Amino acid sequence: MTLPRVIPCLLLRGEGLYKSRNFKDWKYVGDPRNAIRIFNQKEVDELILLDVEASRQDKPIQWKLIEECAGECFMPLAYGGAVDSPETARRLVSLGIEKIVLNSTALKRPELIKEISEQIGTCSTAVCIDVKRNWLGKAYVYNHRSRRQLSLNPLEWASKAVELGAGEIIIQSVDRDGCFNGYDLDTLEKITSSVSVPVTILGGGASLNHCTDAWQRGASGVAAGSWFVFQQPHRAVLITYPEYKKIRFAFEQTQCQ
Amino acid sequence: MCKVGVIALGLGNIASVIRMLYWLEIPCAVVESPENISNFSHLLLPGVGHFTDGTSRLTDSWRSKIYRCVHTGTPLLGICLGMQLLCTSSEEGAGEGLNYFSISFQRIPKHPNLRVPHMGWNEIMSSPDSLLLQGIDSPRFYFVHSYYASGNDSACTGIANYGVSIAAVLERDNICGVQFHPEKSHRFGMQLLRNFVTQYNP
Repeated sequence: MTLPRVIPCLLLRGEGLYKSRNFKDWKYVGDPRNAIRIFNQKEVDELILLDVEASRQDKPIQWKLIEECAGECFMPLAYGGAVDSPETARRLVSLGIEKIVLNSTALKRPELIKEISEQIGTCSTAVCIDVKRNWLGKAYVYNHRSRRQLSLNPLEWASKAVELGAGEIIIQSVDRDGCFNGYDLDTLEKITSSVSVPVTILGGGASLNHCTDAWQRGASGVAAGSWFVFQQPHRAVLITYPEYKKIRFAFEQTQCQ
Repeated sequence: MCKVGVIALGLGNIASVIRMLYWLEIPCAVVESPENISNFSHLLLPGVGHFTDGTSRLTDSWRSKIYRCVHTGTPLLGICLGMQLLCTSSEEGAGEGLNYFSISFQRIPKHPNLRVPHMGWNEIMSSPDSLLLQGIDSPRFYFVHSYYASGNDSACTGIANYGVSIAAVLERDNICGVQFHPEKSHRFGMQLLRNFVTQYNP
């Protein structure tokens, strides 16, 4: 049986790991190397590391830190943050990064997806789409660099990204980020119905039930930040990850329904 | 004395393989040119990317040096694209592999619930004859690929299911290949690499 990947998503600001709520209200979590070491010991399926300041503040990529992080784990580690050329992508891959995640750099110049996927392969090129809903509840692509909602439909952008060579789409809900209230299943289902590549959902995931709900709507990856680094109700830092047999049991139960 | 040569054809990241070998305290070195391929007890051929890129980087010089080592009994393990390059051909692209296994690769068929590429962890059904999978309890590994070889081949010692029966492990004589990534499969990958150096003897 193929289970979806359950993926801790870690956000870098400077050299520290932070976590947000609706892309603001940042709280310090700890040192990224330590966190990855702990997730490695817990044998997580995969990890995503996103440098949220690199694009927004035009900061350089933290090569040494990324190399150290890649050295701490023996499962796939994806990296996103200011990847703006095939050379950058290639250099990241040579450090041990499994997958490159493109977000605002691809919005700025969609051809970048093609250039990078031709260099490092479509399987190693993921595009992350931040989704926000307007006051009428309609979903739009959000550009975290300009902090603006674009009049671009997530479905259109996802299809275009795949056409250009994205081997995976990551959908991140700004509204559900850090809220522990479940994934944006509606947007997820629309996207999984129209692209054939793996789709990973992020934002709001906080339980195995949320994961199985997402799986039933076609997700092949379920990612979360706050769930794995905070203990509710007061966002106390605690790194956790469900045991493999619990994850397996939850999905097997869902399959039987 | 055990020393693993990691062949670097420029096909993706070999850093993770090297890191896992270091972790396992298995002596290793990167082999960047065919002239330096001798004096290793074992050879690894990792690879990620397009089949055509792989076959074109396997120059005549690489091919003859690899053949020579293999025919003198040096065990060779191909990983992912590296395994595909041990075979004959692939629908994905042009060129011929090393032809140690007479196998061709085809695209994983579309299926309503299964996406391509096959990306994620999958369980392996292992043959009792497999040396690579020996002693690994409930083996599962991380896969990322869009082309596969059928699990029905006689050299197949490990099968994964993804709508179709996928050859996850190929083994014959001193040559073996794995479709998945042991270097991304934490303790399962470590056990497999350990088996490669202990169960396959030059």
